[in-house]
Amino acid sequence: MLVAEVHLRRSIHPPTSARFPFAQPGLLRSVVEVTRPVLGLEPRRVVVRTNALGLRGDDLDLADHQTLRVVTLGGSVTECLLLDDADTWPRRLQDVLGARAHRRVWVGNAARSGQLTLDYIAHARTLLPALEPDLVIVMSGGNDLQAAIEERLLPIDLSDPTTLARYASRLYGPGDLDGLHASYVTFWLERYVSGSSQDFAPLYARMAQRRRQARTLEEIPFLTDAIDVYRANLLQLIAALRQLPTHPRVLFVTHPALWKPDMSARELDALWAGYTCMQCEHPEYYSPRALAEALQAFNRELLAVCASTRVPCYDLATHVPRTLDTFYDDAHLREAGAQLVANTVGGFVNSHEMLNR
Amino acid sequence: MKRSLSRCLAVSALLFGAAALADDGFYRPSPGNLYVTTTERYLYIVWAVPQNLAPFTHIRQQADLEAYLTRTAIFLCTEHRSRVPDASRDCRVQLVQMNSNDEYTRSAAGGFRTIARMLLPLASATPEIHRRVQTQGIREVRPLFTQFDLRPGAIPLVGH
Repeated sequence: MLVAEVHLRRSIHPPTSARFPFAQPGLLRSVVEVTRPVLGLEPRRVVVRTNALGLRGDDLDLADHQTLRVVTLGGSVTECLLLDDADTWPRRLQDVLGARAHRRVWVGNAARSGQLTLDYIAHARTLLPALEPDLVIVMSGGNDLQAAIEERLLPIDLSDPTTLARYASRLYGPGDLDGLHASYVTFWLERYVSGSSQDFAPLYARMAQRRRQARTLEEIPFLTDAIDVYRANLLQLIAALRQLPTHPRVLFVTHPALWKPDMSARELDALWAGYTCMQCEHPEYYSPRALAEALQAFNRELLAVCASTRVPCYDLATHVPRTLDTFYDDAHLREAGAQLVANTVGGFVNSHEMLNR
Repeated sequence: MKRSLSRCLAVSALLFGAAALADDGFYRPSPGNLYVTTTERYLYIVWAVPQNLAPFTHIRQQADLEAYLTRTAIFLCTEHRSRVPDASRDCRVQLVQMNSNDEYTRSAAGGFRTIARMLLPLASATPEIHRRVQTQGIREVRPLFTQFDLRPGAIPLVGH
């Protein structure tokens, strides 16, 4: 027991600042299940953990400045909720980068399902200053597109402290680590035993069926407006990243997806996104062709903004095959897809020496 | 009895009149229900209203509602036009209805939906035009807008 306590105290390092912005409670352990085949997924049971910083990733002592720190921002495609901790693309990226680095590389995955560029701006102004990363990798565009389709993609000026505080209040919470200091072993065991479990099969089956039964739309309205808003938010994000005191390198990657004009019946059965509203009784859905073209427009805009602001950008979307070997639904990566993303993004970072500091 | 009823009606009419005067023919959203910023193309104004659509409950006719929305849009664009250096851009006003009766800045995470989008050339967002349209109906005000997209049935009127 004492040995375990000593071991845990050496490996777990909760932040010392009482004002640390936890994107998720620290040291969570939950089990995510898919109990029957659904979309492009076979049944599975994966474990999702957060470290003491409330991020998906290995433990990191914020006082350790020898470790090279990489933070990933994104939505569910980066969060990789249905992949085991070890199989997420940010965790595999850590291995790819670590194999070439002379120092330990740590990748903290701050991505959360549904988050979009406005959320990354808030992270750049709130979370990243606390993490002091050497490199920030942003996969943006996917949720901005979904928000545009639902007409909830807005430009909000988060450089205003009052607005930022209000916006950020819904992104961060307490770390829920109060009981840790009494006994790390007891705390860890409690979290291990009380960890939640959720079966995603019923939800995905319902969503996919709803898509199949709904009316399909071909033209996304106000797309030009949406791209204009996306550009404004990207510029805000880049400005916020440039103001970080540690001056990290920044890499944007375009958003991959399965969508394409001609999809097989099996591929179509794997889709569930692209809805005009999530909660309404009769949502409509955009066709894979419309979604592919719209995402391409978002990705093009990202590349254009990167070029105009001289921020490194990697056109990841063109390197990820649009097949069910890579994706299990509209845009979420299977293990093979996650490895591919880790390899190609890692290859770009290594070849551009983005972690040499 | 008859006299007290007529007195009551007179008082009601006075109160109603006072409310209408205070209303000025347009709406002033609270700061917590308003986001104003600029994009490459627009002066972009997000105007949020609560789920109960409180700002519109006194309106009875569709034409009055549309005039009220457009006059408010002109007010908002005029109020914030100094944020953009030139008048060549347009003013985009996006009206969203919250899923709660709280302010946008407190409850956006709870969800909202767009119920109207309006586009006004900034050249039409001047104090003179704003003053001029305060008493005008939708027929006079609507031509100032290059887009007025109010979703059908998004704002149900009392008595309809």
